[in-house]
Amino acid sequence: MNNSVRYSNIRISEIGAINESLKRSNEILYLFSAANGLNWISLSKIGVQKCLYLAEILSPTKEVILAFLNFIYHHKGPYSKDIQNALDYLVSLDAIEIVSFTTVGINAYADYKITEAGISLVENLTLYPVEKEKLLWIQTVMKVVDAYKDCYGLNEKYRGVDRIIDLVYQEPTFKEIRLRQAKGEIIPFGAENKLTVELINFLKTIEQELPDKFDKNKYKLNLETILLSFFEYLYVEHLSESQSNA
Amino acid sequence: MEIEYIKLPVIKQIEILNYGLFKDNWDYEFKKGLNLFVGGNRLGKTTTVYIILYGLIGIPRTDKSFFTDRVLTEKQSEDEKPSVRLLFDIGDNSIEIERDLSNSNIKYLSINGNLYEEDKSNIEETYLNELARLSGIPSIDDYKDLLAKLLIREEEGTHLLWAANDQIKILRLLFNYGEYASEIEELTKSVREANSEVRDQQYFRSKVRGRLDAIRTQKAKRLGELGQVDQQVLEEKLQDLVKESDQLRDSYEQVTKSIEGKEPYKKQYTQNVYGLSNEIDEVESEIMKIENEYFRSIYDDPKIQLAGHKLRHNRICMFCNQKISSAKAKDVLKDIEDLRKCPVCSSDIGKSSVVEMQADERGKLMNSLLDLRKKADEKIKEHSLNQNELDTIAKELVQLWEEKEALRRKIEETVFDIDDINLMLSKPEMERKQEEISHYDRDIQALEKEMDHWLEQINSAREKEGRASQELIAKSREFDSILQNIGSNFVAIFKKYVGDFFDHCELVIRRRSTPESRIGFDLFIPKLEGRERFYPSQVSKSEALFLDYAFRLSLCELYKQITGNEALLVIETSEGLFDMANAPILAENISNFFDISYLLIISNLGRPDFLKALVDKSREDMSDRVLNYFEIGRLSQVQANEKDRFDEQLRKILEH
Repeated sequence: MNNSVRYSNIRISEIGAINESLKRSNEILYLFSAANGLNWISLSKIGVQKCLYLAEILSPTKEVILAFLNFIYHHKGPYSKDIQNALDYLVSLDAIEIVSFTTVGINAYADYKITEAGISLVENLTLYPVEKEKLLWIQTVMKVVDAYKDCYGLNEKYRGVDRIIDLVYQEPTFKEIRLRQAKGEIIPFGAENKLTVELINFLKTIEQELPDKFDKNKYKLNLETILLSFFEYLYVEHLSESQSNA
Repeated sequence: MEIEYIKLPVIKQIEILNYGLFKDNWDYEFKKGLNLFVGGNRLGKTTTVYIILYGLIGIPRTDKSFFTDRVLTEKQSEDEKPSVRLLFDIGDNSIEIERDLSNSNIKYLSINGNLYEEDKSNIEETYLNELARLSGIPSIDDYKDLLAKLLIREEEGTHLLWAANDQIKILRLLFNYGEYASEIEELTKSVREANSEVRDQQYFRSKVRGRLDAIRTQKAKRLGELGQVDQQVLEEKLQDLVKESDQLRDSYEQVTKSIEGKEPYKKQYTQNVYGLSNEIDEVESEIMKIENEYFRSIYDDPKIQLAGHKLRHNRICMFCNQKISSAKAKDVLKDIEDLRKCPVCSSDIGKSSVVEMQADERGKLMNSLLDLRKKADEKIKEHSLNQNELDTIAKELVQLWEEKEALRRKIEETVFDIDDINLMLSKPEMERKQEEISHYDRDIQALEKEMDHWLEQINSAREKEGRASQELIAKSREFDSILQNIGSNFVAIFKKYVGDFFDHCELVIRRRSTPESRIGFDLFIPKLEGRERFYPSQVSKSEALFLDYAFRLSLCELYKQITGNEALLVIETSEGLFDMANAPILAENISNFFDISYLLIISNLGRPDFLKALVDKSREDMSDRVLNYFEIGRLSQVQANEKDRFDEQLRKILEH
């Protein structure tokens, strides 16, 4: 059963809208919970956007269903204002707290971390197995992000996890829009995001596609290896692009 | 049968007037025996030969300009125009004629003393008629042939011995009654005409055959195309088609039935899928409701929210607004979060009823959520199964529809085919095709008739040809017997003229055919050293000339022997071809003729030994028997310088 069938028949009602917004808040909490688990001090506005984008766009890998988000091509890559609203709401609930806040011109930079109350919320929410599954998915994605955030050749202008901006830029669906310079365009998800899904499907079937390259005795394809392959692809793409630009 | 032999002309005298080639007018009287015209090159020897011929029959040897180009160099009055005057006998008749060389007009004609001068326009005709009557040669062409091919031989003349046609003609003219030759010619002509008629008709017949073949081919082709015209075959085919059509219709019905059978299932599954989708939507929306309630209960725990918020950020009590120490606040917060103590009364609530109750409530919500989730999953599974079934059936239906459409088209095609065959089987159509074929047959019959017609024509033409050939053969056989009679005599005479020139030479009679007629004629052929020579190329050039001279001389002698008539034989010799040993032999052999008749030898001074031998053989006084071209001709500067030497040479030759 895939997303498209499920979503296509759902009436977007008021209940639905509330449900989506609550689930969005849950997922942000799981993101901070995962960052806390990885001993990250904080997570910036940009970091939250990019990590959630990756979790969302890669969700066909595990066929996990996350809340509906509208990402657009913003000047610093994919951006969803729903995420910022949910973040502000969570701050008001004291589930997330602001670690630092600076403004440069009209731009505001803030770093956040999860509070004790937030951790307690996550514990309660994940009693529900559907939510537990989402937490595990986000934790997996974050683990891979953690592995790649300090890679050589990523943009030195950003700090910490923000440096994965360069990898997000190479994500096939976004890259296609970026190369068209179609700023403000909504990034397609689910069945419509053909390029990423194709890549994921290829990685999933790599055993069959490249039997002479893939040693089944040495490697076993699981969720993490697929994700790692995907990130490796993004990283190589980034390196070749920056090399050709140089 | 008494044969009327022809009479050849005996030229007695020649006079040439005003001809530019010669410096003076000259005349010469021919004597029996040897007459010798001697001269150098380009002084008019060959022209003299032509002038004699021209004077006799008025037909130039080559084109007319041969004379005129040489004559009209300066203006001449009528009397000063060049002309030739000939005096000659035909049998006992004496003829005198003067002919203009610039045109062929006869200027003067006297026959047996009768002067013809009254009607100049008619004079040529009169002359030729008289010539024919007196000589017994009706055709002027025959006369010309006799002169040019037998009597008057120029240096480059043809060989009479090997020219089969000429020999036949001359032999027949000389030794047969006068009309024989023309009869043979007539017969040959009619054989030729009959033959060409046969060829023409064969050509026409072959044309008709071509057309006939073409129409037969067309008919065969059309018959091939109309092979299906065979009614039996058509009906069998029709039956097959009807059978096929029925089978197709059966299949069509079956397919239609299976489509009809499957349609309700499709409908059912479609309904199921839609129904389940709606049910799933309902459950999902129920789940959402409960999820919302569940999430809210977690986010909206008012005790925790309100008390916790004020204490955490401001260290202020929510009820008395007193600020407390941060350590105290921390402890209280911990207690609240752990839900161990009431934030108001600090009573130990432990897992208090409120929290328990909340936990119970959430538990209930969770249970119903899980139930609903389970229900939704079941529905989704069911939905998926139904969807799969629907997909399968839809696929099958598409296949069936395509099959149905293909069958429909095939049925349509067979219907058309059946209609076609029915049309072909219908009477008018059959008749039309029969008519088409019989049309060919009619054409063929007509052409066959035409072929038969031409065959008849050809046969009758062949008969005609056969008859003409028979007549010709009969006629030619008549002469063959004559030839056999004269043959032995002739061979003996020929031997005399050949003399010692060859070791073994004789003349044999052989049957040969001519290009004009396929009938064989008996002819004389020389046999040298045991081999018969049918072509001049089979002997050397001098041998050929020698044999030809001998043949002419023999003919003239035989002619005289048989008929008693004489003739002037003119030979322009080419003795230069003969070597030192053979030239005198040639002269000696020629000299055998001196006693027979008139002989004019025209020669240059190339071989004095030849001339000397000739003169020596003549027992006559040569003083009035020689014409010296050096005396009458217009000499070139070189010739003029050498004239004395020439004269001296000639004088030596003529000395006996």
